[in-house]
Amino acid sequence: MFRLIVKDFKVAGIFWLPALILYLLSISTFVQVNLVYLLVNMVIAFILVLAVPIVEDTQRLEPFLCSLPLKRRQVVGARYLSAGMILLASLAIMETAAPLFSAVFEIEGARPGILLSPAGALSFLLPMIVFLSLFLPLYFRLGLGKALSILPIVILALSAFFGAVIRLAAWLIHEPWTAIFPLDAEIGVVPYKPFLPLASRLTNSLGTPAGWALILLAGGVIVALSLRVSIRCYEKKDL
Amino acid sequence: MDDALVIRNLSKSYPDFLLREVSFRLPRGYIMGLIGPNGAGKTTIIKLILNLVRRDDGQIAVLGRDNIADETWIKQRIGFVHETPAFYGHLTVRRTASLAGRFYDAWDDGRFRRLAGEFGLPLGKRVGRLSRGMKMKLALALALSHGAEFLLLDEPTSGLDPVFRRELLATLSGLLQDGRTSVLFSTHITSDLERPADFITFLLDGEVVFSSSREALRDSWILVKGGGDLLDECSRPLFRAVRETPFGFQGLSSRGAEVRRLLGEERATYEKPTLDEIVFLMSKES
Repeated sequence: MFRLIVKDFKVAGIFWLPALILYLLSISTFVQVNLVYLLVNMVIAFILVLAVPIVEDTQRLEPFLCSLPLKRRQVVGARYLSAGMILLASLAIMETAAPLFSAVFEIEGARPGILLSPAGALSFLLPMIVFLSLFLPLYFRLGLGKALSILPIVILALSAFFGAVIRLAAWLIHEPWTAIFPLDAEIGVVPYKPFLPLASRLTNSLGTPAGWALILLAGGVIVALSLRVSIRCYEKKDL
Repeated sequence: MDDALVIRNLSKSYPDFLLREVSFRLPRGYIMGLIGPNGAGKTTIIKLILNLVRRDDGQIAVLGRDNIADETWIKQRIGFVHETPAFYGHLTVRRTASLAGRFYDAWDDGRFRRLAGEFGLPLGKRVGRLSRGMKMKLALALALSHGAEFLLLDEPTSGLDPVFRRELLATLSGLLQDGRTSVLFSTHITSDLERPADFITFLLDGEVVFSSSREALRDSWILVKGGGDLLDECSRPLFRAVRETPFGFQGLSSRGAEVRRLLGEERATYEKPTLDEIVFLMSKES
């Protein structure tokens, strides 16, 4: 597995420099608006996760890769691990670069400290985990092109489902749905705001460590389910 | 004699193609040519051996072990050359070898460098800039650098210049000096197999037409040429394949003695067919 991760990082080497340049170009512009800054970081992280699949899909390398002495589950597991490492590295860069750039370039109106909190980190990690947990099984079953085509449809369907669940929950507790998932103009400055009520309710009722453990567990369950589906899909795939 | 490869009743179906009940075996230390026209199922069999596609039914044992249950053990001992070798185009030959070598316990970097030298592979050049022939050489060098006991070569000579084709065939013959390396060599260029192959398996429309040693093949088939008037209700069933022209006919038969007795020695000529003639006539008949 470790050999595969090393391989992935070697292969993706050509993407690191363009990603860094893109990052440096965009950061000073976007750091003033946290939501856009967050989205830029998400897009860059997603592109870096996609780097190896792009190379392997366009150059039709799956038969070569699967002719090596590996099990397909190892190929899938390594892809999840390297994606996880890229997410953590991107999070670390996001959390350190914003305050650093704000201070160095004295950017007016920047509030980078907003993202330096557990909820801020969650606002990056949770959508990315959900996004990648949907994308990777599609990729391992259908290949890159079809997965990227279908992903928006899946996300739209899930968003509609999620919206319906929130409205149903709001109706059940006799509160407006914005009390559960607040969306307003302020979200541009406070991107993790929608997660605050949920996080605070959990931490209030369970205690802070248990609340966060539950949130992490939920993320872990999503990833574990996605990994299982990916392995089954890839083991069934004819290359 | 133990076997490098045993395939029993192997089946695989696609919407537009069916591999039916394929069975054959390759003893250890020999070369088998897997021949047949394009679309006969050669590449599918090789992919099934490597577990790149899932079989519907049947068994595959490589070096005595099941190819799915002991997949990684087997792949440590297999050298594979794909018909269109694909590598990470932005990596150099050297880095490609170092990347692939990490996965093999018995990787021999010195041997890879020696082979790269013999094949004229530029170690510092990006793989994406290599010609198809050079990529094939790279694939072969990689396949031969981890002490493989079983080589799976899928159309390795197609698209190669005649000089390298000869070199490749000579390299294969040299490999077998040790008596432990076995080769399954798929090709539609049957002339490549006239010399090196010990066994021939002929596939047509997803079925094995025959699988036997080259000598047995030459002894068991006969090519008959004669006038069209010789073909009648009695003689036609003796032929496996017949090609008629305005000047006469060519017929392929495995019942040589009966054909000779029926047609006589004077009215027809009898020859041992080449592999090419066998494949051509049977494919036409199909």
